[in-house]
Amino acid sequence: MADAIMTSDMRAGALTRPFAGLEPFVEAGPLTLREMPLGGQIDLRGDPKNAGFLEAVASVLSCALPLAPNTAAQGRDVLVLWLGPDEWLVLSAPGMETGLVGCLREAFGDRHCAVVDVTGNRTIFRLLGAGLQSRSASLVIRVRSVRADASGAFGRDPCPDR
Amino acid sequence: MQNAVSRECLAVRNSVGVLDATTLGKIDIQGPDAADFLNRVYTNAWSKLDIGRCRYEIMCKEDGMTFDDGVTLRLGENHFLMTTITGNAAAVLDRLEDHLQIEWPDMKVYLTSVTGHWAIASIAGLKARGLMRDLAPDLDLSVEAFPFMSMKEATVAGIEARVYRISFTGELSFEINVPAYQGMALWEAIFAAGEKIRLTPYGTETMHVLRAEKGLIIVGQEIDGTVTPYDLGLDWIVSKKKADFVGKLSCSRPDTARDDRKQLVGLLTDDPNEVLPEVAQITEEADGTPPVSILGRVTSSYHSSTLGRSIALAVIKGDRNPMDATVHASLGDKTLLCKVVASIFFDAEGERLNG
Repeated sequence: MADAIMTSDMRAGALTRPFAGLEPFVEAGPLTLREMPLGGQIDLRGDPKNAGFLEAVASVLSCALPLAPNTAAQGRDVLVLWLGPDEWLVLSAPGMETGLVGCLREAFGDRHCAVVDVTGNRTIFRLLGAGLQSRSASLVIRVRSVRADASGAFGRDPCPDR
Repeated sequence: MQNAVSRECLAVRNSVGVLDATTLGKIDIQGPDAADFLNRVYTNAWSKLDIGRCRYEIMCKEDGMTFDDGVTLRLGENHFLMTTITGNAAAVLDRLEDHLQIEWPDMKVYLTSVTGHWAIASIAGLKARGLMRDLAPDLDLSVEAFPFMSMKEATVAGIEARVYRISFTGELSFEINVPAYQGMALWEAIFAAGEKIRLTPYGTETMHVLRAEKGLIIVGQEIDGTVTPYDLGLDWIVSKKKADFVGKLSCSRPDTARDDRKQLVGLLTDDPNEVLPEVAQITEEADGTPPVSILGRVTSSYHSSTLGRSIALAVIKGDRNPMDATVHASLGDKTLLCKVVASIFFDAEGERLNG
């Protein structure tokens, strides 16, 4: 993952904004789970058999699109992830996505492609710890619901009349 | 719970409320065949929609049954943004990708889910325009400049936003769309600006009641997989000019074309304090020797604070039940008298839409 994503705090992760005081990371034994600051995310669609499309992308991102399933490519300040036969996710530093969308659309011209800012679609977690590289490692992440009112003011009635 | 819903309904109708509509399904549609694609999957026509305007749409399955509804916006010549009901976001995208990949692989269209990318705050009520003026002072909110069913790009509370003028409640309504990571900042700004007019947040229970008062259908209630657009009184949304669209042929089958199908109507119980249970069976006689003939069922039912009485929407066989006919809701231990009425209970002329 590009260092720019790890060190920039321009936009706090989706979880930390609504809940003041909630730490954006969890430690459980040897594992640490941290929510990353929200970088730019662009969904890219195009025909991988079209040389013009591949060249246009490479000219903007400074890397070749990864064409093999489940591979990634490092470009100039971007990481490009294969999502499907004709779909990729471009990860950038926070705030860079608007300019990138513009550059990609200009490079494509009238070519049939799709460039969509999907930054809000996902948040990104970084999981660190010993044992994660083991082939037999399995991980269960269970999402707990968060109580909206920690003081317990709601009592038994979930919809108190205000 | 009922007290909270009543309070929220009255706040929206008499003042102003705001709903978090972020969960709605949203699909970005791009490509030279985008308009043609919409013409195939919707019942109505899309080629001539102006950029910056949006339109209500119905999507049917191959069997002619209504599957989803929503509002779709034209962003450019070859660019649209479709919305779906929350629960159908993935199902609609799945179905559309199926069509593109299997049946129409030569169509030049790309679909991208942006359901999570956009947060939506929907402001509705008599005081909506005043609140919007505070939040977006540079945006011309007049009816002439900002017609119903259109979208304007604007700075709202300092955030670059898309503002739609659409309405599910029947009140003057502005739906503010911002990137999801700015949703909380928008929400806080709306409440800061709305404090002096006691802005009320309202939820989906209230939204269900307000839209029912206007006779607007919703997936999960009226749209349950068994009704065609014609059954729902939406003949106007089915294009007579389009050669074909998904579901068109199925609406002319003997079973879907017969004239005694269940049709959407309103029901008013004789006792205004009685709220019919949803899916209550409607019969012609109060009781009778079995087998009892079923006319239809209740699809939505609420106490309406706006009207001070209960209201219900139902689908019942239209041919034998003209307006004002008396029918019965058979509830097992008792039977309730109901009158068949038009399916719109409030502001039938739509005067409130422009504020």
